[in-house]
This record gives sequence, structure tokens and C-alpha cells, in this order.
Amino acid sequence: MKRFIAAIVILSVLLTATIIGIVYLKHVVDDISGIVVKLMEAAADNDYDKARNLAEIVSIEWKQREKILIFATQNKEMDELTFTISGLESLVSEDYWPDLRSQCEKILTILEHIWESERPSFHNIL
Amino acid sequence: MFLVFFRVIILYGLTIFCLRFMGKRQLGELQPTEFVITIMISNIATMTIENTSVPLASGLVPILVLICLEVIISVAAIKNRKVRKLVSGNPLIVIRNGVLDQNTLQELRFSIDDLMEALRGQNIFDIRDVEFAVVETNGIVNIFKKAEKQGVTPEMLQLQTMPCGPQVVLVSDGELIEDGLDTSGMTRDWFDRTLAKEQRSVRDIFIMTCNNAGDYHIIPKQ
Repeated sequence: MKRFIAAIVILSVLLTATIIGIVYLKHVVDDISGIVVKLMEAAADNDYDKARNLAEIVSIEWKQREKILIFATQNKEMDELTFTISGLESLVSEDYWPDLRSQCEKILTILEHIWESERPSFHNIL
Repeated sequence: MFLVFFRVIILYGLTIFCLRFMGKRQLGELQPTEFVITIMISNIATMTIENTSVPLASGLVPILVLICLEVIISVAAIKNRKVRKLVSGNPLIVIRNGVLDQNTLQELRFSIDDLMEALRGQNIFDIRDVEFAVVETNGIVNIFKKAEKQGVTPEMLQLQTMPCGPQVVLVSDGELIEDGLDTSGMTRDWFDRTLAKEQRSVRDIFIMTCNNAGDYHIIPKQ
């Protein structure tokens, strides 16, 4: 009976951890996507200062969140995201606006893909 | 490579924990659910060790979930006969009073060769010698011989027997095993006196066994 109770406790802890993980991932995807969209808007308006500021923010935010997300998400996608985000600041400082736009779109696509692949849906389970 | 090294250590520890957590049932003959769990755990552990791009949690979580489900289902199977029947099935009688039940044999998809092999494994070469043969839920065939084919027991001959337990290891490779003394019901004093009588020290003994009747056997080191 001790094992039965232990099994129930472990299952409950794992279920809670996975639910918290999903909620955290959703927050990260929404937050980072929001900043990246603002960065794209700033780039479209040729607002250099705002774009540089947002590129810095997205880089800092991602570094903080990545440390936790790495425990539960495919490392390849995380590496690609880290690599792409780290290049944003240099693209802004070099005024490569078209490249910046395409890199931002890439980030949004990867984030959306991460969320879509981790989202607890019937489609994903199957 | 360094990552793989630590992943192996972690997953090895987890797998050992899981087997211990499942209890001794897992280490004997496997029930269908236990067989499935064992295969799945070994596959998940291997994939997680090999593929370092997958987070360790992707291996740990499914292994722990599988183990917990197995424990929960096994408890449910103990408590509820319907669950037991659902997950393990029922033992089926394939020979009754020396007569082969061909329908059950077909239902089990057991060939006559499989059955004869199982019988021969229990030193039976003629189906007519068998009173009952039961195919257990783990696939083992258990046999009950006809009364006239069973061996003679002291009870049949009305012989007096002395109760004696199994031989327990007291010394293994020159080292005294205290638990062995407790299990056999012998004292340390008896042990010391026995060694003195045999003119041996513990270090010179490869293995020493004893039962609770005080019948011992010593194999010295070579």
C-alpha cells in the first residue's frame, strides 16, 4: 500500500510539473513573440533606438527563460532560437532591416512550432 | 560523450529504483503488463541515453509514469478480480485427467510441440500421466501428476521426519554473514565452537552453509 500511495504522489507531482511547464511555455512564447512583433514594427517604422532597445530586451528575456525551458523542450529548437535571437542586436546596429525582419519571422515561426508541438491537444497526442 | 556518461549514470539509477519500486514481482516470471513495462522502459532509457538533443526529462517522466501506472494497476488487480482478469487474463487448463483440451490449446495458440516441451521440462513424457496441466497467465505450464504417477512421500509410508529448514549461507568467501546466523537460528557461540571443532578460521572458508537443525557443510578455500 505504501508503494501505491508513493505511485499516486509521484504521478500527481509529475502531472503538476507538466501542467506548470505547459503554462510556463505559453507565457514564454507569448512574451517573446510580443517583443519580437514590436521589434518588427519598430523596424518597419525605421525607429532605430526602439528597435535596438527591443533587441536587447528580447535577448535578455530569452537568456533568462531558456535556462528553464531547456529542461523540457527539444534542445535543437532551443539552440536555433538562441542563435537567431543573439544575432538580432547586430542586425539592428548594422541597419540590415530586411534581414532583421526575416530573422524575426523565423523566431516567431520557431516559437509557434515549439508551442504547437508541446500543446496538449488531441492532434499532438495522436 | 561526457553528457552520455552522466545520462547513463542517472538513468541506470532510475531504472534500478524503478525495478525496486515495482517490487519482487517484477524480478520473477513476468506478467503481460510487467513484460510490456520492462520493454518500454529499456527502450525509453536507451533512446534518452543515445539522443543528447532530447532533454533528460523526456526520458525520466515517461519512465516514472510507466512505473507508477504499473504499481497502481497491480494494486487494482489485487483488489479487484475483474481488473486482474483484464490485465493478466485467466489460467487455462489444457490437460484434464490425461485428456488434451484441443480447443483451449487452439485458443492459446499453443502448438502440441510447445506443450510437450513444457511437459518434458517437468520430466513427463506421456500426456496420460497428467491429471491437470494449467497454462498460467505468464505462459508457464504447471502440471499436477495423476496420483499413481506421483513419487512416494514419507507421509505415504508413515515415516517420522525431523523438521529442518533450508541450508543458509553462514560464510561467503571468508566473510561471516550475520543475517545467515539469524535465519538459521544458530548462535555466534555455536558458530565459533563449530569452527574450533573443525580447526578452521573464517578466512580459510570459501563457503559454509547450515540449516536450523545444525547440519552444516564447509567448503574450504583452495
